[in-house]
Formats: sequence, structure tokens, C-alpha cells
Amino acid sequence: MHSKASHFKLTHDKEKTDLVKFPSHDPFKLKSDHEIWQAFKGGNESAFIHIYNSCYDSLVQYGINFSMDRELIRDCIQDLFIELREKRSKIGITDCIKPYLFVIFRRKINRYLKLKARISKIQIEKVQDKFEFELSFEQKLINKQLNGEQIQQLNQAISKLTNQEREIIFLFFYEGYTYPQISDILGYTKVKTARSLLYKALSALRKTLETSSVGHLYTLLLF
Amino acid sequence: MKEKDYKNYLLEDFLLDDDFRSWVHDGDKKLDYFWQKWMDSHPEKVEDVLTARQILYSMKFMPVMVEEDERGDTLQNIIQRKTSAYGSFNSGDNFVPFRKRSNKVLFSIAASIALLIIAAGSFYFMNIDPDMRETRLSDTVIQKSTVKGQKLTHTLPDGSKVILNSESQISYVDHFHGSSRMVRLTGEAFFEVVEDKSRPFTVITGNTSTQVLGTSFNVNAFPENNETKVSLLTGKVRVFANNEEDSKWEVFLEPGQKVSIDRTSGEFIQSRYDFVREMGWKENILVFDKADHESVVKELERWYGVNITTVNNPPLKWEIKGHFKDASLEEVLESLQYTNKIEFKIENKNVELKF
Repeated sequence: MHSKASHFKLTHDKEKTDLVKFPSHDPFKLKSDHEIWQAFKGGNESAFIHIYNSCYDSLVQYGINFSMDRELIRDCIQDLFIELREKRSKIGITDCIKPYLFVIFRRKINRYLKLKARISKIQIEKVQDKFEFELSFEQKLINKQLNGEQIQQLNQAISKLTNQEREIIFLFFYEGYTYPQISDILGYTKVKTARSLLYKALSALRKTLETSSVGHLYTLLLF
Repeated sequence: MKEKDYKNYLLEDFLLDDDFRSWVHDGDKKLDYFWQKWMDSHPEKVEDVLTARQILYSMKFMPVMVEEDERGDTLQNIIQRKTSAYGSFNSGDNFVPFRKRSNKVLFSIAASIALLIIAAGSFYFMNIDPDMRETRLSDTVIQKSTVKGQKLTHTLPDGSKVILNSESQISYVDHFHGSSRMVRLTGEAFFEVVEDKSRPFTVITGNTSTQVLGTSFNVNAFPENNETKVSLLTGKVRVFANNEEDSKWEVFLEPGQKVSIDRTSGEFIQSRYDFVREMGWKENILVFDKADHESVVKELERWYGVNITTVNNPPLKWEIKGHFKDASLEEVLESLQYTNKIEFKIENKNVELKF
């Protein structure tokens, strides 16, 4: 074990997943969320475009965990921003724009999904009341790190978690949100709830990984 | 870096440790050295460190691909305030700032303002082009509307047929992209729907929706009436309230049945219908069924596209019953003249009725 660790060369994955492209003249690029939001509320269209461009992809990314219906996700984002513009002078103040939009987006997409289920009732015969928050690791991005079997193990472990646990993992690790922000998005009154749920989820993940029968993930990782 | 109690860390503790995560994500060389040394002196923890590190890498997930066009087109729709079909079911969200969730007065004001804007918006679209037969707002939303005295037969992108009565409007997303076919209607229309089990066809009218797989039916939802009526000719439809609170209201209609929905109470009343009375209009039959003089005037205005001014009131309450097939306005008024004492004058599109 010891020797293996010594041979293990530490490398870093420099790949960044920064997909948002700002126009070079974006005057809000370096401004704080507070300033951007105030400008938007005051009717500044560049501020709106900045908010839109910097949040669109994240909302899609969050959305596909609820549903693979890209059109529905798009409709949801579209309607959210229409309402946001219409109510711009009336809405509250925020220093963290993206998590604020996540709160609204989450409510909206759940409503749209219920509506979609109601509309499709004739075909599917029963209404789904529960919506799955899916989360899965993709081999393509991380093939340098894990092989297909390992990813499958991880995904199996993830799939044993509850919807809420999966969603917390996404918000914490993927979006990098803080516990208070996660509590706002998920509607917890106590910040402690988010922290303990996340801890519980990760412990459960570890336990599943430890008991995985075929090809123990731990040993597989030590090439 | 301050030495934490790493030797007692479990996998989850590493994952949640800020310093550990910033080492993995930011790749600080000095920290590389620290961790290399730390693993050398704690071989029993090597597995945990490496596993946590690999998991953090994989936590990046697969970034979703968003086409430039998608983001741009959606922005266009936002600026033009084109709410999606889903959005037209629902009133908007409450944009409540964090930790200030009790400001109820603010929400109701915000909600009513949004409603006004939407109402004003559709009014605007109905009026920009008084002789509108087709208005292509963009490549995405198509609107068809009729003015007084006009009817319109239109084929939808899926081949379904709509006959639009006077002063009515439908709108739908071009090509019905997505998993369902949704049409918004104000006024009255008859639908002959092409069967497509994978994509239900839904007509949205204010607070009610009618859904079919393949069938023909009539929806009457003029804004000035206090009821919406759906009458089924063939096939099977499901009519339901859009509002979640009213979700108990849902009926399945058989051919020959109709449902009348009271707009105030939201109540659904199912009954049999008379074909000529409900769908005669599309065969060009003007129908009066125990109509008082006000509804006769309103109906004649709509049917013939005229403005009627009235003088006096009828001495007795009218209860007009009758069918007029392919009749001119003059013929209708003449026959009313025999049974009820009226005088009329027609000058182009202006009619004077004297009771």
C-alpha cells in the first residue's frame, strides 16, 4: 500500500467547464452580484443580458437532473426570465443571483412536470406525483480517472440515495453552493438540515462503495 | 497549512473538507507536496484520500451542451414576452427574496400586474392587424384570428383541421415542437384532430383544457360568456381544470355529450347536446335558442360583422328560437320583423334596430 502510494503521481485535471461566453464588451463582467442585480432592477438591459447569459447553462444543467425533456426545461427558463423582467422593479434584493434563480426555477420546473404528467395522463394512465432527481457520472468526462465499471459502481451507489440527497450532492459539489444557499433552494428552515443531510448522503455512498462486491472501487483506484 | 485531524477522517469528511476540495480543484503544487507526505506517513488512509479525490473529479459531471442558437432564440422569446404553452396554464411565480417569505401583499400586487400585462399583451396582438388572417410573430408562435363576420378553416402542422368562428383566435407553437400539441383558444372553434397517440392534442381555454388523441369536437369559450362549452362529435376527449386546486373537475366525454363549465364557480356540468345548436355555426347555420334581444344583437354583430345600434327596448322579453341556414342579414331581420315588431335600417356595416 505504502509503495503504491509513493508511485502514484499526482496530476490535476485542468479542464474547466466554463461554457458561458460573454461578449467582450460586457460591462458587468467584473461587477458584484449586488451591483448587477440593482442595475437590472433599475431597468438596465445589459445587466439583464449578463444575468441571462451567466445563468442559462447552469439552469439547463440543473434542469436535466429533473427531466430529460429539453423543450420543457427551455420553456421553464424562458417563462422564468419573462416573469423576472416583468416584475423587475418589484422583486427583492439579492447578493447571489444564481441561487436565487435556482429557487424559482426549481418550483417552476416541478409545476411544469406535474402539468406535463397531467396532460399526458391519457397515454401513461397514471400520474407521476414523484419526480426523480437523477444524477449520474459520465464516463466521457472522466475517462482518464475511472473506467466504465468503476463509474457504474459509483452511479449504482448514487442511485441508492434519495432524490433529496442526490440533489444536495449536485448543488454542493457541482454548483458549489453554500449550506445557507442550499437551504434556501430546498426550502429548509434550518441550515443544519442541509449539512447533516449531505453528510448522511456521503456516508451512505461510502458504505455502498465499501460493500460493492465485484472489483472493489478502492483497490481499482490504485492502478 | 494547518494540520487537521485528517487521520480520523472518513471518505465523507475528506469530500466535505474545504481545504481538501480546493487542493483537488485548484491544483496547488505546495499542497501536492503536503498530501504526498501525508499519505506516506498515513498509509492506511491512502485509499480514502485517492477515492475522495477521484470522486471529486467525477463530480464535475458531464456539462450539458447548449447551442448558441438555443440561448439566443430563447432570449428573443423572452424579450418578446412569448410565454410557453406550459406557462399559459399557470400564473407566474412569486419572486420572493431569500428569507423574506411572508410579504404576501407584495405577491398579490405582483401577480395582478403580471396578469394585466398578459391580458394587455394579447389584446395588443388581436388589434395590431384588424384584418388579420395570419400573423407570424416569429418562426415559433403562430396566431390565427377572425374578425366579426368571418370564419376561417385552418390546417394545423400535424394535419388536424380547425374551423374558427367569428371573433376568435387560436395560437400554437409552430410544428408543435416537443411532446404535445397545444393550442390556445379564445372564442369558438371546431377541431378535427389527427390521431397521434404519442402526442396528445390539448386545447387550452382560460381555466379549462380539453385533451384528445384523435377526434372532432367543438369548444366555445367567448370571453364575454360566463361559461365555456365543449361538445364532442366523434372520438373521446378529456376535459379538465387547469388549476391544480380544481383538479377534481375532470370529465371524459362520449360522442353526443357536452360539458359546460361555469367560469365563476369552476363547476362542470355534463349533458347531451343538440348538434345544430352547438355546431350549426360551422355548417353556416345561425341558431337562436330562447335568445333575448341582447344576445340576438350580439350574435348578429358577430355573425355578419356589423355594428348594430338599438333604439328603445322590446316591450316584451324576447325568446327567439330559430335556425337560419346561409341566410343574409336582411333575410334574418325580415323574418324577425314578422314575429316581433321591429324596424331596421342597413347602411353598409351599420345597422339600426328599432324595437
